[in-house]
Amino acid sequence: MVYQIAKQVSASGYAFVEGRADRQTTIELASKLGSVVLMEKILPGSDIPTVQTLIPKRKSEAPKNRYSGVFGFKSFPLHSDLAHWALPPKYILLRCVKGSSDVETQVVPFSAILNCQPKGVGKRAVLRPVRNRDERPVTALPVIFETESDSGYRWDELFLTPANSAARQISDAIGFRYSFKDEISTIVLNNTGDFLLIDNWKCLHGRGEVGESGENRVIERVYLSEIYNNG
Amino acid sequence: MVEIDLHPWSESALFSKTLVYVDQMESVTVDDWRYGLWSSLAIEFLGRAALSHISPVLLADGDNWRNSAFAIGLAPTTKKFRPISIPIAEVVKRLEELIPEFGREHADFCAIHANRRNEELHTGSLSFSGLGTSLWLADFYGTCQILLESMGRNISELFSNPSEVIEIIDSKSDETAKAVNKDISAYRQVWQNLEQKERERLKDRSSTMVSRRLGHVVDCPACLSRALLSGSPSGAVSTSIDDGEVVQKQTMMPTSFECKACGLKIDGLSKLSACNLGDAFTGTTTISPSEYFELYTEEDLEEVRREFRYADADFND
Repeated sequence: MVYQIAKQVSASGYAFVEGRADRQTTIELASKLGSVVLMEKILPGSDIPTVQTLIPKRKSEAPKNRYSGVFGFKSFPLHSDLAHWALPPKYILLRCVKGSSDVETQVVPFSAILNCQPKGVGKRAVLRPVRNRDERPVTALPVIFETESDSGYRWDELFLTPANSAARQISDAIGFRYSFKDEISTIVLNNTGDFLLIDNWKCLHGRGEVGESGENRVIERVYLSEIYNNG
Repeated sequence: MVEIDLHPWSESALFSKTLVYVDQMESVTVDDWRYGLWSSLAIEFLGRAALSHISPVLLADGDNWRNSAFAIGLAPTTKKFRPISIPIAEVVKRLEELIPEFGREHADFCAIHANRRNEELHTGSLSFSGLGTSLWLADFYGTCQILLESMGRNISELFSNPSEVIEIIDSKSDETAKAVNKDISAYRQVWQNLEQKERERLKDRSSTMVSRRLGHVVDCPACLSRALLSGSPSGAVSTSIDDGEVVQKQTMMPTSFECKACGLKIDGLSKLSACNLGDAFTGTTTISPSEYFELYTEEDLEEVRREFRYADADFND
């Protein structure tokens, strides 16, 4: 099964697996799928656990440096997680603990957004952090980043802002959405055990508006740095 | 693998900053003094990015070993440590030694351009004001190209108008273009052989035919009469409001020259650059706000007036 999931993620940027009646915990599932990013090790003292529990919050219930603190129950803009990191986590695992048919998750490959732009815009686009962090140097961040074996895209209009006109062009395209609306996939994590594995380097995602029955939705999130594809 | 912070001496951080400064360059016309100033900063960051591509340690000032430790990502071991990198002159020296394609001419250009930057920032001189683009732009783009290629990148990853940049680079190396100076000498000879009265008549006629609305007015290199330089638009259009009118400016790269007095014609940027007519100029268009926002034009108003010509006469009832 892991091999099939890896293949699906490689092909379309994400994989959705419907709920199973298994009793494994989210961390057990994550460890079977790939290499877990241990947040306690990466960010010691930050109180951010490796398995994060996501529950819709009203604006007043969350700090302003969180998506809920800015958007509340409204839909979150398309983004990649931890885009302000030099190298964000490669994969996001979202596992349904308590589902809702009222809340959608949208996923779109970043390439679909760039395909509608003039050639070279993606490679020239640069973002900068919105906030300066005390005593730590702040650098501009390229929208397209590369490692020795792979490349990825970053995007987040809450924590990052366009630093040049190429990035502003992409920002306009994402805000307008029309040029790539047919490429957006919509997934509903409705049943306990449903999970969605997203390639955070290739795709943007966004949570839809939370309807009445969605207020009690509970999702667990884990980041992975690689997924196993050996079966 | 995850990484939280991008090292400020990393190729990625330095190249990203280069892009920010190139964006500033491209927000003004090429003959604006700020274009030159931003370019001098951009090429420094690009040079540092190229050195960092080999290794960030090459940017560390060797006077203190802790600068090298900082370059490889080690946390400071003393309080109040401020990392110091090498000055631009040293960056250029190391680039010349480490990158075979980065030759003496590129190093010399970087030194001259850095000097212009220093004069601009530290003295009362307006180093970039009035600096003709034919004196430096081809060298600037050519040096950028070498540095980009050393990092496995290309012109389109830095500039929004790559085909124009390449044309300007190529204009510098076009050896056949230098033959234009022979043509100019020939036309000059013919002009000087004309009688004084005839020269004055042709000069006067040329002056009346030349107008800023038709192109950029320059002095003919052969007969010194007023002549026209035509150009093609390049780069972004800047829009502003001045005295109630919308003013749009755009860089024009010279494409052809014609003198109505002596008949000299020159085509192509490389030939124009070879005879000092290759400086970019700014094309300015002034339009009314209503036209710009497509509310209505004078023609629209006239059409409406015509429609009401036969309407009932105004009457106060």
